[in-house]
Amino acid sequence: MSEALIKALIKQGINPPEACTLSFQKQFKGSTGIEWFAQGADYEAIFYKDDLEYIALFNKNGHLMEYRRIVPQGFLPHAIRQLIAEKGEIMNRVLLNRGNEILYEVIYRDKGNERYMMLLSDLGHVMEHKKL
Amino acid sequence: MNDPGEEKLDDNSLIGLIKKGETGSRYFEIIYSRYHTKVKNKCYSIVKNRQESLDLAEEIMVKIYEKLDSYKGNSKFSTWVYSLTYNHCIDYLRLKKNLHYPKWNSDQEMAVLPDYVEEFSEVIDYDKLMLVLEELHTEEQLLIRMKYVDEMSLKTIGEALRITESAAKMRLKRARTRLLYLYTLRFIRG
Repeated sequence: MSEALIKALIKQGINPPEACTLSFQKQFKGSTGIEWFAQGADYEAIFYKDDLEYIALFNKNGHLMEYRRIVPQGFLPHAIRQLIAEKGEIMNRVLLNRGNEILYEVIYRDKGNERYMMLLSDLGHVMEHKKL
Repeated sequence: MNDPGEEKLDDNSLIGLIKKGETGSRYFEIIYSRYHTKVKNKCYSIVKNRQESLDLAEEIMVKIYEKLDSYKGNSKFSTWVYSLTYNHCIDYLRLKKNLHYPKWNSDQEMAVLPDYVEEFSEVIDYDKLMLVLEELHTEEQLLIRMKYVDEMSLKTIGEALRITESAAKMRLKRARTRLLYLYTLRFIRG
């Protein structure tokens, strides 16, 4: 158990198709700590770039379908910050880039300590809002 | 007194009988005796206080009974129980101890480890690793325990901690990186 835990903590994941690794190297040069996982028929890489966590999803042919990355504090679009400030405190910020659209997944907690997830466009339009 | 045969029923059979009604409390006593100590011990590993863990375990056992209808059998019953346990304890700590992960995280210094860290696996000592684990924020400790000790899915972990699945993935990665970073600092480079 202890040996298995140590191994799991150090390295996770699988070897993806070569098309995925080649495409990854082109799009996310300079990344570290790269780990690949199967996601249905697709492949997901979790890694660091510029000290930020990223999750990138590729199909088996190496086409980048979307990626998510942590958004540092203070880097959310103004419209989103303003909207959430009225509701509570931001606990997590993720940018989702689907190629043709950029969305933000924000987790906030209200005064009663309840947590919510909001998916918004960069202009602050709410696409999804749910209690966690 | 329970029929000795009932004691041998598996969790899902017992849950099915409880959901049917009438003698639910009798069957729940069996569930209670199977899980109360495990839940209490898990609470203790999280809050590190005997009385608090006892109180929390009682609250969680009540919660389990009240929420049984929401258990659909998609995961093992024990996973569902532990997910509720983590969820209840983390809510307790967030409220009582004012746990604030984003602030703690931004205050911490951590270098992303180079990829050759894999070579460290030969020299890592389990007991020392557990010592370093205690230095992490409670939410990061829980992420590691949920994933690698209780083998929960990231979806279940996200639900228990009330974060999204992608946030759970990213935080777990950060927790693992921090754990190894601190280990190298304390026991390899130091």
